[in-house]
Amino acid sequence: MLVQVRITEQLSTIMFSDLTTQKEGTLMGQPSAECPVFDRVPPTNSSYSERFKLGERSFSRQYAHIYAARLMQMRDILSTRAKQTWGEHVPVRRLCDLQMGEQCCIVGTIFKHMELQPSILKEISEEHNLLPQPPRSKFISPTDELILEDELQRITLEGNIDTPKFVTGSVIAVFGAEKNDGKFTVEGFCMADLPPQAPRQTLSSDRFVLLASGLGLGGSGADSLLGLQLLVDLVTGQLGDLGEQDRASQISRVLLAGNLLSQSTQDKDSFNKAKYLTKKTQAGSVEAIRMLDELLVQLVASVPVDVMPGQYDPTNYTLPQQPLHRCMFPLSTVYPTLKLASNPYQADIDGVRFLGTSGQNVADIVKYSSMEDHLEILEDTLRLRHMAPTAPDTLGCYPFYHKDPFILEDCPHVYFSGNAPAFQSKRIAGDDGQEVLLVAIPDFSRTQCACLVNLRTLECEPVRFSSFSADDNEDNEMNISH
Amino acid sequence: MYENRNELVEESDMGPKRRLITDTFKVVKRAKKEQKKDKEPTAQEKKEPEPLPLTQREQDLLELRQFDLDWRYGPCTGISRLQRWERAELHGLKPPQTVRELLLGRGEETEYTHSLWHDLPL
Amino acid sequence: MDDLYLDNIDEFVHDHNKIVTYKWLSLTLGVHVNQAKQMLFHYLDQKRKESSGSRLHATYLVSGKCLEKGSMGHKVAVVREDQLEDVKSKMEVTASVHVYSIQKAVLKDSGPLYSTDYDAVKDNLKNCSKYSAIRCTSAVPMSPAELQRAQEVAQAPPAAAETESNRSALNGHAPQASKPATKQPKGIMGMFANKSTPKTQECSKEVKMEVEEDTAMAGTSKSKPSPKMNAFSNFFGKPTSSKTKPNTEKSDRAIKEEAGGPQTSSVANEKPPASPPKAQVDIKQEKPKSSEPEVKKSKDRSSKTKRLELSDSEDEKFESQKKKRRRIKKPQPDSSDDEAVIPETPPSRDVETPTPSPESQVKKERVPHAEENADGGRRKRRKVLKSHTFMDEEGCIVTEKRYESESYSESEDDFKACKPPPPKEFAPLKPSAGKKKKEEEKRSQKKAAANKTTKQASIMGFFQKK
Repeated sequence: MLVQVRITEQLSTIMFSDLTTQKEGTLMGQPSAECPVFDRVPPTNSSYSERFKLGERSFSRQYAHIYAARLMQMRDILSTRAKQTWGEHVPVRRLCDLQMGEQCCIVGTIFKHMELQPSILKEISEEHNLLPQPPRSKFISPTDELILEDELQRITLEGNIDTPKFVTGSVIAVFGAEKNDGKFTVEGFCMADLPPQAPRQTLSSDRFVLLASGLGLGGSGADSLLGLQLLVDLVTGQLGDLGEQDRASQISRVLLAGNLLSQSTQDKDSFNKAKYLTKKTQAGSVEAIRMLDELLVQLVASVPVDVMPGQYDPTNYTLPQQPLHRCMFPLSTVYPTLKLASNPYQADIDGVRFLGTSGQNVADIVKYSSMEDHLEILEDTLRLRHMAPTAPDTLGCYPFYHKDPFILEDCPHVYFSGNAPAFQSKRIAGDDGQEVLLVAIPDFSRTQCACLVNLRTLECEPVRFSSFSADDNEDNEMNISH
Repeated sequence: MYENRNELVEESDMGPKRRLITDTFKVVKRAKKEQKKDKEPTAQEKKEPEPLPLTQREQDLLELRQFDLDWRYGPCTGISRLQRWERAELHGLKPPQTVRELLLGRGEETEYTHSLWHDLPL
Repeated sequence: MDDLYLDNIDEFVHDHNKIVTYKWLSLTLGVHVNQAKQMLFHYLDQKRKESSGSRLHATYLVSGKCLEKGSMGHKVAVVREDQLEDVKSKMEVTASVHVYSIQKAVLKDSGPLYSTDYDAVKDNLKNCSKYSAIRCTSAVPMSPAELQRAQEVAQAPPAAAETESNRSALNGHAPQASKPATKQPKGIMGMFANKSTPKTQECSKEVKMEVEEDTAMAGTSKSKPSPKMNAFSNFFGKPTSSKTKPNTEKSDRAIKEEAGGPQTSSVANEKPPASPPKAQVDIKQEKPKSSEPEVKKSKDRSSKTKRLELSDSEDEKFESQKKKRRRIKKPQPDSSDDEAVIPETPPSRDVETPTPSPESQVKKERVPHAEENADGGRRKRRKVLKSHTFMDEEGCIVTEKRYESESYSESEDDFKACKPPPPKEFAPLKPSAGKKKKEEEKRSQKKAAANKTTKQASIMGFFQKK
């Protein structure tokens, strides 16, 4: 449904492969004496947000502060939103002021009570004598119930609200009334919706940002690496004809959204085996990082590159993940074009605000909600105005107390998440004229696919790479199971 | 953490809501006051000739304790009173200005800088 | 343009049996990538005309606009010649078509293409985009001074952004706040901490001292000019640097494993293409393991032992460089699970060397031996167990003794199992080692003793130590 709209729309728009200079076939002939060299589009005003950088870290606090700060920040926004939705005179109550049967609106943080949610306390309690649970990909069940909490109290929600869809930590406003049984019957709910947006700078010519994630180095064999090399060669102007190289020179930045290393580099040997057995063995990530450095140096010699860490990369695990350390990249770090960024990433590239993550936030919601589609979840978090509602409940997170940095205070132009199972993109428009491009950046090692965002038109298209392998005769799709 | 709050609220779900919460607070408060009284006499003995500043100090501490007990400004554990005050200010909750002055006026005294519960394990 | 390159390509393809990709050719001949593509095409075209081209196989690169999985996008594909038209027809707009590679054999999969490019690029990492069609004026490598400045700038913002934490440090929590400060460098950051310039004022004195210590240590290894680079080399240089030989061998092998290597693919080409190149890789991988050590053993055993010693001391040096990390761990009990075991071994060996008890002799002999078999673990376990015996004499004798004798015999069996090779080694070794040094002499004697009665020796040692 959505896809069909995109096709018809895209046929009429200018894409990466719609070359500005059509010079096909120059390479299928005699060597020419001179070969044109294109200049990379010069970087213009780009600035990075230090919002997700942590200074000195203290872990002496509990997580209650995050929820408290989150509710403090969101309460006013949601109160106004509630008045917009249900009329200016709707009473917005706190739970302690709730009158039985009165129609009113309450603002609070959702807590989803989930029977299947893994709990260490449950696991270690001997009294329950639980059977070992099968490994699950989702932890929702029909018995889940939603509970709304404010500063002091909580109340169970029922009625017109889609329980499996919601996740713990989302701040919403609900409209309804408390019934005799002490539960709140919901008639409607509303989210904070898109935050205000700063106008986007208009560009006179096409400029692209290439988004890729899940390079997965140190994973499978060499044959799947050709796709990655093709990606590098495309960006750096090695492959292709003049027209394509000209187009590639308009790629003003490459953004690598996490999981540069494969999950398999996190070998569990070092945990399972005795240390004396693994003394001489080198961690898998060391070799993978060296490969990454060699890959990066090719890129940074030709284009500015922003590198975000992801779930499997060697930095801190909890969000916000801090930039990878420079000294891991002795080759590429000498280039000023290498930028090691934090995991939620925010930057203005040529006047376009980019905000996104390496995908942990979305992947966690997939586990604890009925939603599967990464793009849908991405949109949902945007409308919740919170990038990672499940942090700190089921997603690792630094114990902030002052404010919750994952709340979107202003609306990005491009909102992305990495390591999605497939490429998806969509444009949504807000009530106040906001325009946002949502992009689910596919996992490159699995899909051999990256994507290009045109900064002028704010359109996004996939770039696929393929080569041939031994077991496919007619279809030449690259197969990593090979 | 969430658990803490949940417990608090769950308890309140059992009976009439408002009363039980105040109960919880009361219990803590009483325990603390006793502790205070143990400490205060020693201080008094030291500075016996001047009884007035002591009452001032008591008043200050009382006000700070009232600030601690105001649930609108969020949890107190793990952060200093000033941090809590500044957070409340940041989010437009208008915490009393006098509290800030008190906190800035008295330098490093833990009695001032930290909340009632600061020496309890997290 | 003279056609010398045609002969060049011919040589590469036929004589060297190479896969010639445009990128490899461009880097090898030093020509623009587009020229390289044209050269390949020209060569192929000419050979085909001479009808000697039937033995040549080419792969092509096709790119363009393509509808796939429900969305229109750009597609870049490397295809075999027979798939070329098919893929082209699927493209809505073809942006480029060019020869990607030429080789004698039909490629079953595209893995070797990557390996070829990888090797070429790896040799030219410093100027890998020299011949590409895109020039980036802003991507100029920084000088060390610039680099340092850039890093300082990069480090400044976090310090400035520390408002949140500064506050926490300011308003009390003084005892608690100071703890994290020293704690922080422990993690990954701590491992790299010596790299960060001492400029950061947050650095507590402790940390600073450690930095100095570390740079000083690294200085002795005289590998790189600036202390900054030393930090790099500590971490990444070590495996590659030619100093520790076993390591280099290993890493080299690892690279070959992955890359497949040009030779590998050429071998694959000679054979009928039915055998996938992967099998070749496996063989290659095993070869150095089995053949190389044997040759060395018989030839110059003495040098080998020397080298092993060297690598050992090298290891120790390396460990001492990483002392900072160790020191933190040391206080913990040295259970075998702990990392503390690693530094434990060398010192204990040193202690034992002077005492001429047969016990230590046996052990000493085993050290290199175990290393050869790449199971340093067993050796260590033994030692741990022996120290246990001492303890046993004092207190709870029964249980601990039992446990020990069990694992002991087990390892003894293991030792027996790997007995057959040692005699071969020792025979030529004794005289050569004897000539060398006193230490060496001692060792060979020990070895002889160990040779005759392994079991006895160890049991003797067991009793003697009492």
